[in-house]
Amino acid sequence: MSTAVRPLQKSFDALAKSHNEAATPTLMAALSVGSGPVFDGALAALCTRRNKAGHLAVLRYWPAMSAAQKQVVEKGRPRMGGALREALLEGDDQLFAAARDFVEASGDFDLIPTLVMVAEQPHNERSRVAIDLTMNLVDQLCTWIAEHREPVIGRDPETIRYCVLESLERSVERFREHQRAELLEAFVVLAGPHSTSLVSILDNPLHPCYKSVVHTLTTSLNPNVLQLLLAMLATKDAPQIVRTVASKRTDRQFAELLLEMPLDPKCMPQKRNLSKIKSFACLESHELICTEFLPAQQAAAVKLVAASGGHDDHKLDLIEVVLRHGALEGRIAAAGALGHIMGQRASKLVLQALDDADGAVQTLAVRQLRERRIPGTMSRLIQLVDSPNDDVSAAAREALSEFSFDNYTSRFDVLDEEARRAMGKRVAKVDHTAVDRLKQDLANPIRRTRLRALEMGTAMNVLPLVADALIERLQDEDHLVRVAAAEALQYCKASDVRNALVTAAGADKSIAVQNAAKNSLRSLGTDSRTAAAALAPKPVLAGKGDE
Amino acid sequence: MNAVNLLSTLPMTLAEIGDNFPTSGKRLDWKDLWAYGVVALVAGIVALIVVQLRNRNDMSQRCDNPWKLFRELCLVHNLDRANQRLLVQVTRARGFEQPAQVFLNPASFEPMGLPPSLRDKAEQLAKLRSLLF
Repeated sequence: MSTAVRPLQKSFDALAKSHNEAATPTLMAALSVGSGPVFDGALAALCTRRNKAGHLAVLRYWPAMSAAQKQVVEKGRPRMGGALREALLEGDDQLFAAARDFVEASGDFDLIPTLVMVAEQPHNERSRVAIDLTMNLVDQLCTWIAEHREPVIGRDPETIRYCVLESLERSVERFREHQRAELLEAFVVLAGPHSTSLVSILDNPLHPCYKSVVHTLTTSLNPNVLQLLLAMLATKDAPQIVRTVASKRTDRQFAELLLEMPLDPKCMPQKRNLSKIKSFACLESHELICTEFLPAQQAAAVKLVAASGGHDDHKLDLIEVVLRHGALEGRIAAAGALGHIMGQRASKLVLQALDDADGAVQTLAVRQLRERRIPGTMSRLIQLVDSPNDDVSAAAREALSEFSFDNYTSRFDVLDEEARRAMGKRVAKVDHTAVDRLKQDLANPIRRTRLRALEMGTAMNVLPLVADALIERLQDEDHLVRVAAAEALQYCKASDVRNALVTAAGADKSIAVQNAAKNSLRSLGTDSRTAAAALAPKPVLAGKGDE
Repeated sequence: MNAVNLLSTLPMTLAEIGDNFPTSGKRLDWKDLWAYGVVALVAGIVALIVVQLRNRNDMSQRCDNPWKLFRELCLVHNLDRANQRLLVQVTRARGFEQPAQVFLNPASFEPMGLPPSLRDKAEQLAKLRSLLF
């Protein structure tokens, strides 16, 4: 079978490559068989040849072709431009339909100028088809560009965009004559946010295309138009009308894309444009935001409204609703957004956020407490240090950072007794390194530091926590330190404390230390003699072992 | 008037140049050159035929010649004179608009519809068909 096909294929190869124009009518005649290897071979050979008549003949058979045959024809697309143009502009209905299907299947962007010409013709069936086809191709191109995808036709999408845009720009110039809003939409979609032509239209209300372009931006549900609108919000020279349209649109599609828009704090044009928008109509219903939108969208809505130039009360309305009824993500965003708004109402909402069920929301609220100078903040923060949520506790400690051990140490000498106790208790609570630091100071080689550490421990009321360090101080070389340690141990109730005090009371070479130890033992409810007796080794009874 | 006289006598004057040189032979007349002319004419005709033949078999030249395409396909399939003649007969019998259509139409080799002179060559036709398809 294969040997039988080979000579025929040789004929087709020769006819495809022949410089003799008679090959085209020969191959066209072969198409009349309608199917089989002769038809397939003639089809392929005609597509290989550069001959408009041959390509038109192929197009006539397009509706009846199989998928494989259509694929063969699509491969010849780069050579078929002339025939396709003629079919679209002057072809009969059959040819026009075939050319339309072919362009749709192959994505021939080179034909867009022709399609635009057909689309600009007075209203008829063909212009409608050409418009739809142009829009489809433009959408396809936009998808490729957005996905940074190399199209199958092997050309850079940006290059195609440049060529297509050129013909659409010419069409925009002729808009007064053809009044095809769809072609304007195609132009708007492809032009992109930085197009000077588009910006100049939008900046000039007297431009013939102004109304139509604005209408497109306001009503089109084409995702590419919506993307353009949002992209323009991030451009430096975004026309006023773009901000107006963005603030007025209420459709769900736009709202969802708006809430997907990344808010970049470093993008100054976006920040400036958003700050010029007073409100977003699609986010006006705060209750709907909590019920209809996903948690991430709720958060985005709060952030967007917070970034807008609306009145603080308006922002607080949304924040209040979201804090009360929103999902966790939304509440976190709401608590974060409060940080940029000062005033009594915002402070009230911060306190409301403190009672939120989730730690993340509480944490954000805790971080704002100090700067707001809300009465009772200090005691609330002290309470929050004990929060079971580690983040909340850490945030409270951070807010109370002045109650650090270092700060306390540096100021200890200038504080009076009462202030030492008040601050000491807070430091012990807020700075979780305080006890360890105190132990380090108790072991410090400088006598003065050791003595001050003993005083600080008393003022901070953490002596039981450093009992082991105090017991060690009973062996200190300095008798004043030993005295102070013995005195301090009266507040420690551990059993080894009594033993250490008894030893000090009986064995320390300093009378003052002995007395201090005895006093402490007394305070602990133990007499030194009794304790010493209890500690003394019991005499072994003579003869007990003999019994 | 003098100028006209001068122009009418100029060819004669030019012809006489060199008449009196010692080595100059007999003066040539137009009648003496006819043999050269014939040779040149023959050479021209031969050259023209050669060029025509070359063009006829040069398949790389752009043209629109159905029979040349037929010959091109004969060359592609290495058909001998006998087969080429047979193929021409089939083409004519079938009345194809384009002679090369016979290379793409296996049905044209079926004896049915062919003139009796070709029907007798059914075996040759079958061989030719197997060569082309």
